[in-house]
Amino acid sequence: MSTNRLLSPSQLAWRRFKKNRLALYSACYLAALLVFILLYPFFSKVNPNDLSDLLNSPPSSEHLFGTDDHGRDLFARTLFGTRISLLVGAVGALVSLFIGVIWGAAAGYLGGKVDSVMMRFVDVLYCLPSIVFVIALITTLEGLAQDYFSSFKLFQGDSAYLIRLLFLFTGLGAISWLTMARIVRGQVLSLRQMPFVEASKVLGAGPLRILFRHIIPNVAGVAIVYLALTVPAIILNESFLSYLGIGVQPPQASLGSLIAGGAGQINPIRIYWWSILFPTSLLVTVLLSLNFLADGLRDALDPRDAK
Amino acid sequence: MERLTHIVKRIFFLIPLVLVISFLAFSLVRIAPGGPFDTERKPASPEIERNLAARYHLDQPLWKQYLFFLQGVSHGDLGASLKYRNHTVTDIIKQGMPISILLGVLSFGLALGLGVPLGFIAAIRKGSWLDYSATLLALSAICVPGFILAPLLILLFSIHWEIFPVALWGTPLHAVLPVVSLGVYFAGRVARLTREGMITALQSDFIITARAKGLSDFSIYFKHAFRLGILPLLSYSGPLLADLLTGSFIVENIFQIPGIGVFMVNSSLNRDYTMVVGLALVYSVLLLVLNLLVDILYSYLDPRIKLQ
Repeated sequence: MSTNRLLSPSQLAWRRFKKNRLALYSACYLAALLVFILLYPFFSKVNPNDLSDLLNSPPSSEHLFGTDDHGRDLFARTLFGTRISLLVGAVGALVSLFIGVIWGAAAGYLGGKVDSVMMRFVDVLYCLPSIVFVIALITTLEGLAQDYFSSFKLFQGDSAYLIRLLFLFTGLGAISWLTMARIVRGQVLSLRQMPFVEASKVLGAGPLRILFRHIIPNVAGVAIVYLALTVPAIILNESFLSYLGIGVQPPQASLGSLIAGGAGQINPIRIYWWSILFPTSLLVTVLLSLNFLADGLRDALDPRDAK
Repeated sequence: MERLTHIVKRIFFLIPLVLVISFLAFSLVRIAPGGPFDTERKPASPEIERNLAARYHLDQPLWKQYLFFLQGVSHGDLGASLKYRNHTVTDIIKQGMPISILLGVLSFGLALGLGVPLGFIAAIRKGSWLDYSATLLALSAICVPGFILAPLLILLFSIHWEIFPVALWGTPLHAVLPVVSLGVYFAGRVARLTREGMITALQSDFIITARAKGLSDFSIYFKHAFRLGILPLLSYSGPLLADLLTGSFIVENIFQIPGIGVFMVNSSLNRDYTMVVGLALVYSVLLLVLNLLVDILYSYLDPRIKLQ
């Protein structure tokens, strides 16, 4: 072998990741999509919420994806919806990462009674039907915020949408951290016994320093892999909530609410196929590439495969 | 014998867990803003509202309401639905549950029947085009939500080709499209879990020993690796079955099937307190019992693991 130099673990991981073509292409697709939907508003004068008289018109050169039942341009709306869906997925997953890692690491590191109480709590939450939990959580948060913000006149106009979105993030994140907590706890339990943790203890490091400086960085690989799996799961959950009408509120749109809107127009006589096909293909391709990406990341970061 | 005492211990441990879960669900729906009578003819006079609240003990403190609830549960009464007030929650569950269970069991069968062979083939041909196409198929199944798949199936098989009925529940033909729309997603998950489990199993030392002994591929795959390889799937099937047996909102809603999945969502949206708690109770007991069964099965399949 000509290349004899030693590679760092992250270089090795990048090598393994590059070998997985599907994951690489998925990452490129997502990056391109992201750039496009972020830059699109600067180049187009079409407002996704502008109404027109052109109801349910099929795709044309003027409206690439056709228009919906209010005459709104579906191309702009689909891009806008993709942005919201990705945003909800990413932030929701970060919320679940934050809660899950802290909860799991604390339980695993503290051990004993604290560990069993904390993990029993996770068990209990696992047993609640998540749909009941998320509906109760979102409406409770919203009720609280309405009481709180009404005095500031904040719960009106654009900021109301933002606040609503914030609750969606929190609600979806709050039902998705349980598995993350279990995985992290398992990792921490075994890391805790490692010689390097003993060594830093001997050197006089406090529990917080050990946890954040030595243990959590070692959990990062596993956490990132699970995070990548959580993003598509949350996007799917959000689309379900939007389908029920408790997700993103109109006139804002997510891919889920666009599909629900299109599906609502189906009848045996005619189908406005464009109103379902385009949002659906975006949702499915985004979910697929996120999953491929997660698979690639797992193969690359999984220490079991590291040679 | 040791195993039996463990099982009995676990069963006793379920009781406090169920109490905590039901109390959590009980208080969660009551804390959420809005009430079960918000959509009644408005404006109801304050007296009527007071009477309604008193009728269902809603004017009492939370812990007292919970005690009333426990008292009812102890003789199998989950209370009257606050939305469908001529029906008790127990009646509604008794009516819908068998349908949801049938739908769920059939979908579970479909998920295993499609998913296990797919994951198995992908694992034993890891890295080949068979593996890639199986993985792609499984992932696509996970990425197409039920609310897209179900209308698509209806359009193709009911409206275009007129093979299966559009909706409703009754004859075996009615079951085909709902079972497919519900089962395909889980078949994808099952396939991925089976593939992962089998790959891990095939890498373990005892497989190398088996190969060194000169055992046939058939015996290695089916007798030695499979038993270990389905363990991840086994631990997933507890929550999976609990989900499937309590019905699916989307499939029951689209195909107009009178199961309990629709109630699970609608009751939370309507703040039908008694209904939410009743259904949460059914779900959690089902999940806990299934997980217990899974753990017992686990310890039989993998002798290295002791029942805790």
